[in-house]
Order: sequence, then C-alpha cells, then structure tokens
Amino acid sequence: MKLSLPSELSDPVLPHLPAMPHRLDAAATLAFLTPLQEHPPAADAKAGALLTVVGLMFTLLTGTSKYLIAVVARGDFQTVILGVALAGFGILSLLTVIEAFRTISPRFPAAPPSLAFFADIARLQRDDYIQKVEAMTPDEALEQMLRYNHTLSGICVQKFGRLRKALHYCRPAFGCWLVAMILTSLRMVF
Amino acid sequence: MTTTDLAAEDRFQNTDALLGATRLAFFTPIRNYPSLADSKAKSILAADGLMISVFLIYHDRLVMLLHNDYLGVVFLILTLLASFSCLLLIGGFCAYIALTMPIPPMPESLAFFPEIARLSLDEYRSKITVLTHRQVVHKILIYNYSLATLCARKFALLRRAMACVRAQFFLWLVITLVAAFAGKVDPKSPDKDNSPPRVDRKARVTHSRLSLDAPTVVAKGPATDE
Repeated sequence: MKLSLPSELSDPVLPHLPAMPHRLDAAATLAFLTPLQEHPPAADAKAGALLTVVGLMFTLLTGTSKYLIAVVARGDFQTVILGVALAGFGILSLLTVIEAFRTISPRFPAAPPSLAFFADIARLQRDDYIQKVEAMTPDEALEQMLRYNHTLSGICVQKFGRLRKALHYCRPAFGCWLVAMILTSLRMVF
Repeated sequence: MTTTDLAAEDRFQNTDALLGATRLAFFTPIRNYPSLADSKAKSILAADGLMISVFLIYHDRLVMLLHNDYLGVVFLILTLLASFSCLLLIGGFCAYIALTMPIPPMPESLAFFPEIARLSLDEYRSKITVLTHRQVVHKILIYNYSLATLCARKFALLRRAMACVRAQFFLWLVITLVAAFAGKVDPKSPDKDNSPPRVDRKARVTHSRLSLDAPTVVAKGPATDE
C-alpha cells in the first residue's frame, strides 16, 4: 500500500531523508548535508602537529646545548649569527605556540541559539527540548540548521585564520632553528 | 488528474533525472581522505623526529667517528649523514606541505564554510532558500571537485615523502648500528671512559659494613674462624 503525503510535502530527493515541503526541499538538502563537521578537527589536528614540531625543535636544540654553548663562547661572527637565530627561534616559536593554542580553543563568536548545537540543547530540560523540536515547523527547523551552519562556518574561518598565522610564524622559526642546528653541527664535526 | 498531481508529476520529472547525481554528490566518499592524508603526514614527521632523537642519543659516538683517523670511515659516515639529512629535509618538507595545504580555490559554493561565513545569517538564509535541486547538486559538486583535487595533491606529496622516509630509515639503521658498535669497539669510547671501575663484590660488601670513608682491602683467601 502506498502512503500518500500531504500535497505540500515533497518526496525527498534522497529517500532516507525525512520529507520537507517542496519549497524548502532543495535548501534543506544542502543545509542538512553541508560538509562542515570535518573542518574543525582538521584545523585542531594541524595545530597539534605544529605544537609537536615546535616541541621537537626545542628538544633537539636542548640535546645539542653543549655545542651551542661552545659556539657562543667563540665570540666571533658565528656567535652573532647563532644569537640572532636563537632569539628569532625563541620569539617566533612562542608566537607559533600561542596561535596554535588559539586555533585549538578560539574565542567563540556570539551566535544566535540553535537547537542543532549541543550546548543549546543541553541548556534545556529534556522535556522542553522534545517539546520545542516536536512543535517546530519545517521553516523553523531549517532556520535552526542554518544558524548552526553559519556559526560553525564562522568558527572554522576563525580557526583556519589562526592556523594560517601559526604557520606564518612557524616557517621562519624553522629557518632560525635550521641555522642554529647547522652551526651546532659544524661545531660538532670540526 | 488534479493541478496538484500535475505539479507533483512535473516536479518528479525534474528531480528524477537528478536522483542518482544527488545521491552520488552528497555521498561521494571523499571527506575522510584529507584527514587521512594529514594523519599520514603527521606520522612521517613524527618518524623523522624520532630518528633524529635517536641520533641525538648517539651523537657523542658519531662525533667520535667523524674525528676518526681513518679517512674512509669519516667519508662514509659523512656521506651517510649527508644523504640522511637531504632525504629528511625533502621528505619532511613534502609531508609539511601536504599537511598544511589549503583547499584549492573554488567558484562560489554554499557548501564551503568561508563562503557561508562571508555572508550574514539573513543573506545566507535568503540565498539558500531560493536554490533549486540542480543548483544544490552543482554547489556540492564544486565542493567535491576541490576536495578531490586537494586529496590528489596531498597524496602525491605523501608518496614522495614516504619514499624518502623508506630510504631514510635504511640509512638511519646503518648509521645507528655503526654508531652503536663503534662505541663498543673503540677503547676511547666515552662510555668506557665514564664507566665506573669494577669493584670486587666481596670487597664492596666489606667496605660498606666497616666504613664509608676508609675503604679496606680485603685479602682473598679461605675464611678463617677467629
């Protein structure tokens, strides 16, 4: 037996999705399936990798400290280059770490509440939440999803902006570290 | 047939042709691959870090080998270290670029977050609610294509990085083994210089029992009853 839908309801384009009114079907398909969820973890993972890289660079510098001291004790042009490289590395890596942490935990922008967001759901009592969602019209449901998408997009932009800054600092920090390591290695070998 | 049925029929015919495309567009299994590539890149960088850390443990022995009188050994170690460093830099650079590569630019698509974030909530709402099914599929396909391009570029770089790591690992193994054995063979090894003198167990026990300040030499021989 074929179940008939009310005339304003659409047969869903993707059959496993609940039906929406025809006028909202296309928007709802995109809004509910906009690929946003994977971006915040991606930014966090990259920031974590940057923190690891900076940690490794510090560890390696510490491991060769006795040769670093030997180069510093020379008091010639190598000492000056090493000093500049170490100072640059210290400052830039600190900025990288700060920006990486701000990527992982950004200051969230003020956003309208949305029943698609876990914190707003958790703020309600269970019965209130169920009652609100059950009483929702399709337009309101779509609106909740659009608000969520919009807020999450803003957060993603913020996160990737911070990450870009962290990378911006990390590259010259790596250069400084490389200079310091080359000088140390030369001291080690010769 | 009523007007509503006609409208429904018309809509069905419009979307029927898009059913397969829509399903494929929204469910193309592509979205996990960038994070997979990122994980591989991170693993390569971590492996690089670990290999260097192990060298750090052996750096005294490596320095000793480089100050060896045998020029052949010095040349061999220098060649191995230089090759390792080159591979490390190339592989590490490829992995780093793969990890930090941004999604390639794409035409305007409401499926991509910077595009959504650029609009106000009202603009976003008004833009998305006037879209047709065909436009929706088009927008998600734009996104999919950019993501696929990103994945292809990331994995191409990772292949190079992986090739470097393989060769690098072989060199690392050789260098580590040489450094490890060099420490045992060479009598001037820092390990041997710094190793504590061997103490006769009996003598140590007697020493601790009698006095900590004045070590006593205990004559070896059969114990006698006093």
